Amino acid sequence: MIRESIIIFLIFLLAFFQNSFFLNFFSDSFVPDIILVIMIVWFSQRNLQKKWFRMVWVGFFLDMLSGGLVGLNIFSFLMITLMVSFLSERFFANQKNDSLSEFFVLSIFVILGTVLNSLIAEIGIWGMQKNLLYTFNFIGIKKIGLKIFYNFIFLILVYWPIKRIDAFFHFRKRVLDK
Amino acid sequence: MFSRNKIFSKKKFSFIVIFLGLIFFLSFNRFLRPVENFFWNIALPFQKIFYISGQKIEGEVSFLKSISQLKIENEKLLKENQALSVQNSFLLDQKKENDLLRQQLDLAPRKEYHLEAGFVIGKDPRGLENWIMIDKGEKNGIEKGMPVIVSDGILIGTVKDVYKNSSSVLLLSDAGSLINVKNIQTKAKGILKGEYNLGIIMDLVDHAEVLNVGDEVVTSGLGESIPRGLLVGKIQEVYETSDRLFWQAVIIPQIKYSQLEVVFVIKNK
Repeated sequence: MIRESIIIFLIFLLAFFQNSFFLNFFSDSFVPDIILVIMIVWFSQRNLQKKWFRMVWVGFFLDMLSGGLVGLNIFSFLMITLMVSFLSERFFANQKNDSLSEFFVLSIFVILGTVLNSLIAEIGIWGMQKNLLYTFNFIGIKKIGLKIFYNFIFLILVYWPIKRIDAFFHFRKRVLDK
Repeated sequence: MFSRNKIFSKKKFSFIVIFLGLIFFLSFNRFLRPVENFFWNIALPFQKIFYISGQKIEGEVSFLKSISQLKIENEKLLKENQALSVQNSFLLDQKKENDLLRQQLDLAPRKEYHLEAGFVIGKDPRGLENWIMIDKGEKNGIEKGMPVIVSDGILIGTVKDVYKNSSSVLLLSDAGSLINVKNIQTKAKGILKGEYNLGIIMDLVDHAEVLNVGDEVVTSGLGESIPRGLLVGKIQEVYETSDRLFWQAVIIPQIKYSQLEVVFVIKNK
């Protein structure tokens, strides 16, 4: 219970880090999806059944901070982690033992996740404002392309630290369970 | 090839679908306001810390980037300083003339309004520049629909949502923003609206009216809550609508919304 609360609080802080702190550094008017990347790295190795409720919190915090329709990011993140878990279980199980292959697989997930997240966000905005023109013109495609690039850079920065932290906690749990 | 293990059981899947449907319904019909209020009461200190520290760090980084330009700028500034010293003596007369012209051109007198100053502590993270968040709310007498200006009487938007200690301000560039405006020079009236990520448009200007590039556009005061004479921007481009019944004009705001730091809410006259 305490561990879960700490994790949700960390997610809460990450949401501010993405939507309030990083916002000042990206003058081309959008921010890398750092939470999306972290969740993809994390969920590619986890059973979704146990952790889906955290995705609801992630989406909820992002919805509150974006000022848009509540539920949109919740839906988006649930869809993305469903996609990641599905693809991970069925097609990429063998790659988990090889670090480089795993990174390559995660890159694909980040690209797919970014596109899906952006599309769901655009559909949500369209639903509120009845204007889909933006998504399918050059400006929209360029923005999604740049977002994929930034998310990929962030994946490079966090992948190995997350693996190290993960290995540490799993080692600790195994030692404590003995 | 396909695993027999299901990611969600049917029961869990149904629960999630119902839960999402309920959330969408409640949010769309604005029933989640108490939840939003509660969230922002807790989140406001974090929002301020993260946003303001981000601004400060970004400011320092920009400064470091600009060091190489400093010597050139220094020389340029010295020359400008000399020229300004000569001009300074004319400025007192210019001020008097400015006040007289403002009266004649029907611009809003600056001191008539009860203003509540607020710091910008957040903005639209989707990068559409549709709204900003300020650190004044219900506790400070802010109400939905109040106009928001920057120091010289330039309108930037209206209050959209009010929480206990903070508010969000809908900027003029948002597609949901509609303001009655007029051309100062030609008195042509129209509706100012945001175009989704494409700027601000003055629309529904009668074909018999005249709009010129460079003309200034101000609020007309029609309607209930926005006083007349608040500057909105300048006309950049004029074109006809496809049905040839109206003029439309692209308006360039006088302020860059991404650089707002302090704004003023007009509470009453």
